Amino acid sequence: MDEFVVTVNSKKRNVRFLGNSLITVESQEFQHELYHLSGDTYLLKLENKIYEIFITQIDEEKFIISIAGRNIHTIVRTSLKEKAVNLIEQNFPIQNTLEVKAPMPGMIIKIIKKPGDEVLKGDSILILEAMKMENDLKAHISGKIIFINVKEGMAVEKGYSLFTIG
Amino acid sequence: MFKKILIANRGEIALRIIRACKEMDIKSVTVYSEADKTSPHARYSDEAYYIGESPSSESYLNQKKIISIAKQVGVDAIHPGYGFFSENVEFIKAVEEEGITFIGPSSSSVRMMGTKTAARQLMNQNNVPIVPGSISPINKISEGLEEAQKISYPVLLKSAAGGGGKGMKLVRSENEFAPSFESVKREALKFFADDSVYIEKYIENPKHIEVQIFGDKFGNYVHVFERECSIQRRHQKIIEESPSFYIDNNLRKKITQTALNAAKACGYYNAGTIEFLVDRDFNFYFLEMNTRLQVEHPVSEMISGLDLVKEQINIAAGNELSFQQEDIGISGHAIEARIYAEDPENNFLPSTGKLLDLQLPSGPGIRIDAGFTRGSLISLYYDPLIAKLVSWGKTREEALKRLKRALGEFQIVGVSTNVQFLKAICNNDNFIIGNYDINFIDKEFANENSNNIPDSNDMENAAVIISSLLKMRKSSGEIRTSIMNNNKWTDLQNG
Repeated sequence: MDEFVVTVNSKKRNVRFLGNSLITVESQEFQHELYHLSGDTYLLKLENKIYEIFITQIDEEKFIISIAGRNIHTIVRTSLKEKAVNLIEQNFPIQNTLEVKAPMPGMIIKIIKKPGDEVLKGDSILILEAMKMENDLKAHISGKIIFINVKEGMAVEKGYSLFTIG
Repeated sequence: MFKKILIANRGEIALRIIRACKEMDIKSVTVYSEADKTSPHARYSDEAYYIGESPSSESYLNQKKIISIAKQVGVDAIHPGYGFFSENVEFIKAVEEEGITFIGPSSSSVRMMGTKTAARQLMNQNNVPIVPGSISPINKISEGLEEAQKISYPVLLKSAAGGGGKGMKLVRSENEFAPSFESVKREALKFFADDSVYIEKYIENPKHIEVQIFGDKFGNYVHVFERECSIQRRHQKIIEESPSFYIDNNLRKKITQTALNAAKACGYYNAGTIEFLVDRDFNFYFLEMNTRLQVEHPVSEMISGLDLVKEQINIAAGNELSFQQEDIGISGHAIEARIYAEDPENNFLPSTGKLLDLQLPSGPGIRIDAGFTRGSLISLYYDPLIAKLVSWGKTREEALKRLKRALGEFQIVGVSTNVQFLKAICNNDNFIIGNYDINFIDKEFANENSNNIPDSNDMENAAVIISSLLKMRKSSGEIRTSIMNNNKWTDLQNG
């Protein structure tokens, strides 16, 4: 049986696939059908309601779900992974991490490092283009890339969290 | 009639003008900047010319370049749209001197209305009521104090060359006067390179009502009724309607007649708008004249059945107005909502990026004027207006219901937008019954949390389920593309 934990609007939801297109979210049951319309657009039927959904995938576990004119951010992990993440967070509260934010609005042109990479202070992590200038965003401390919150081609506002080093 | 028109603008208004040209069998020429290489306005026109780097100063505000292209490609006329060069006396003069027709008023009309104190003086002489206060710049603090005493506090100190809410300060009492006076002077110098300041009585909680007028080069004048534009954020209109439900036929008659007098006073021709403040006692005061086509012109088109851009071109070409006052009336009600790329949850900061998905509403009574398509880039360089949504209904109630329905049909991915905020306004009781003035947003949406409607449980469930489904499919290596059996490619193969 497949089990996932999805974080949506700061709430955790347990999802189970019970087979025969039956899904439960917490204790609520849904019959579902999924149809790939084109590109990043899908149709999802839940019981008697059909949703048109546009998907932006940020990384392995982060999605932006655009539905009925709204953009909903989700983080999806298998139950096992979620337990592991929770365990790590409980036992090893993140220390000496540095969240690097966009110094100006612009576009992510290139991502040089990936999560898990060891970096030294001064290493380039990604390139942000703003006002026609390419800006090298560098590691302020040495450590490991914990996560990267953006993808190439994505536009970011000033202050948007780009990546975390720990 | 003109053979070829250059449109010195971009975005939705450039498209609006191209559409009028096509319907009149006139060739359209657009100019575009680096950032607008892929923008629809460049490809919808018959010819498009690159004019320079992305900043407006190097492209859409490059007077020499635009005029030299106009000469090279042999256009008869230039339409400036709104913003950019639309109210620039120097540009209009330069165009006139090249023997090209400027689709708009004469440079002298624009000059007369360009300085606020001069406009107030002119209006005062022509029996157009102005907000009580000075009609010439205030030079000394003592002079200002005396005037403020006369009209009584609170008063507004305003830059004579200003606009858009900049260079303006509210003074509630005598001891605030001197520091505010110095500060407005400094701001006026910084923003408008002119430190002339004048004083006006502060009208408490007024409504902003404006009148659309037209004049031709033969001295004929008509009005196309009024627009109610009180829903503003930081002096930026976001929802406009026509007609205004606040004024009755009697006041409508008075205010439209006054607007025509104002237009005649500056020998105006082409499309123009006279803005008024209307107070609680139904007194109205001249605020300023916009000597161009307005962003919100579609609401006037929807209720009158006119095409204001075609009329502009017609008048500029030297024809008489195509209709007379008694030929037009108000049919139904129209409301416009401006869809901006901005983030209501983050202090309305402009939001930039690529439009990954863009689905626009349609259906009965809905008009969309958009400047972008899926894949277009919303850049840092220009106004963040994505589209104008205009609804029409037999009554205000129907128009509002349609507007709300249509707001729900937008799907915009890639940038943040104010769509949810506009929906929240449409659901506001005071907005629904029409009880509002220009301070509506500050009063009703002071708390930023009220800017957004939370995601419903159903939507959250759908988001949760599809995220899990995609995660599962990806990990099991399933291909996401589904192929339909009855498409042309297979038909061709089989055939």
